[in-house]
Amino acid sequence: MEDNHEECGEKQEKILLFLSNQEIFVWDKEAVMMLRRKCRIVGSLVGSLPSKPRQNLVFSLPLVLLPEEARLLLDKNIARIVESDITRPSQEIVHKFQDERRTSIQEQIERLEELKQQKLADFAEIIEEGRERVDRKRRISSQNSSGKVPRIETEEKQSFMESSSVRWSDDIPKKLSSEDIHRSSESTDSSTQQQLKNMDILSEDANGSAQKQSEDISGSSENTDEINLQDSTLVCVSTKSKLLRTKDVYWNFPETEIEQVRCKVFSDLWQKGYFITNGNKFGGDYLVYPGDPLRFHSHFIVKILPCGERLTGLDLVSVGRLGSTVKKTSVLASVDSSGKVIYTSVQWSGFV
Amino acid sequence: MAEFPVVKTTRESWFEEHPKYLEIKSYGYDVCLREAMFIYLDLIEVKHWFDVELCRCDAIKNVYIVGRPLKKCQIELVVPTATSNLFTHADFRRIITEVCQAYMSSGMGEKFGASEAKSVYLAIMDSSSTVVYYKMTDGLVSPDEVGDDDAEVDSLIRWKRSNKNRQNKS
Repeated sequence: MEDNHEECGEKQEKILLFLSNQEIFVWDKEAVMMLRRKCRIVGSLVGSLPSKPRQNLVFSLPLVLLPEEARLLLDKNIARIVESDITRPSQEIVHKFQDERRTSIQEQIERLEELKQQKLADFAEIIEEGRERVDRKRRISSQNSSGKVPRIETEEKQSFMESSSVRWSDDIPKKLSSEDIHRSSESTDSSTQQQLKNMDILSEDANGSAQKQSEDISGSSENTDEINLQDSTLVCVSTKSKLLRTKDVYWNFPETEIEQVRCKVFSDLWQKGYFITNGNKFGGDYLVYPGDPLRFHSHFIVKILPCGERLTGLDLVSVGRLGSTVKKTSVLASVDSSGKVIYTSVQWSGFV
Repeated sequence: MAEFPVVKTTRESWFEEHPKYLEIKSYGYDVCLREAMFIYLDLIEVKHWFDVELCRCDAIKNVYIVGRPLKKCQIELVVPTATSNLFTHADFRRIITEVCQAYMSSGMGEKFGASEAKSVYLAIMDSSSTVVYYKMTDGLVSPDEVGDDDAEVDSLIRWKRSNKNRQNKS
């Protein structure tokens, strides 16, 4: 691991950490991937997804780093802290920016169009079925007088059964081929048929352009996995401006004693090979994972005690008790007088 | 029990004139007198531990109790405290190291089969006489290594035993 860091420090440019309002942000997706994979720095994503803005389960860029994480990256010479330099942009830069924005919007429009068409194709059979039923009803009602109501009812019931069976059989709508759509549309009037044909052409077009897009993207960013790109549904919206000018800034962390202790404990745990995230989910200072937090449960809830802070028995119980109910070990951590980081594990035990 | 004189006990004096209570008192430590006695009794009378003994540790000016939760279990070390007591992290570490050392140097380790003591149970007693036991270990102990399985086996054995007793009675 150690060699790895030095390598990435030498080979690549340093990662830019943007300091704004005393928080550290990372705006570049490649930097986020590298931090996570090579440097075991997780941070937390805080941006909302452009396509799904009203949910709080999945987030997107930017990534906010804990101050301790940022300090570690600085100490390891992997990153540098910058501030965006706000100057008046030249006419040329403004044009360039607007061009890029236009192409990005175009790509997104195409992609959304494609998704819409796909949805239509998926539900084509069900829509068709509904239309047929309405037509039949109309025909019957115009042919027959009001005396034959029961027959209509049975027919309706039948058609309902049919439509429901269609629903079940098309549980995976993606399997629906364009041939099926044609076959089903043969029985109906020509206008729907025409519509469907148009749609087929459109959706083919959209598929083609989407493929082209993904090729374009993978061409431009070699570092990203192609598999990831195929899985991802949307056009990649760039959050990093290539035209942004930055200036290095001095960052005064850690200042206080408790901040220094936190930094020391964080870097000690990191040296041991753990992944560390913020511990406020479980009432501690850090959560410590044996591997990537997406793949592992955390093992430890770390509570940091500054030197000389006193705990009562009750405090100890409140630290230790939660850990046992979630199968984690609560750990007290502090820095001793010689500057060494010391840990004490606290585990509840219910003797019967 | 032979070495202790038989004392006439009354309703008022059973606790404070208990030979063990007097023994703890004679050590002259100013902390956790009642708690130590209570936890000692809890381990013997309520939890039915085996080989329970009261020992002294001058380094932390407190007593500690050794015993095994079950006949075949390892010896565990229990340090009685009250909820109101204050500890720094250094205090916790001192308790762990000193008590383990006192236990090893007392020769009891050999007597009960050589077992290297690394962790100490802190018995925290509230004024409502609720006692909770927390295992304190130096360093990081991953949760897989928790003796959870032991505890489950323990409770199973105890459950079977109490079941048998009940059947015998009826």
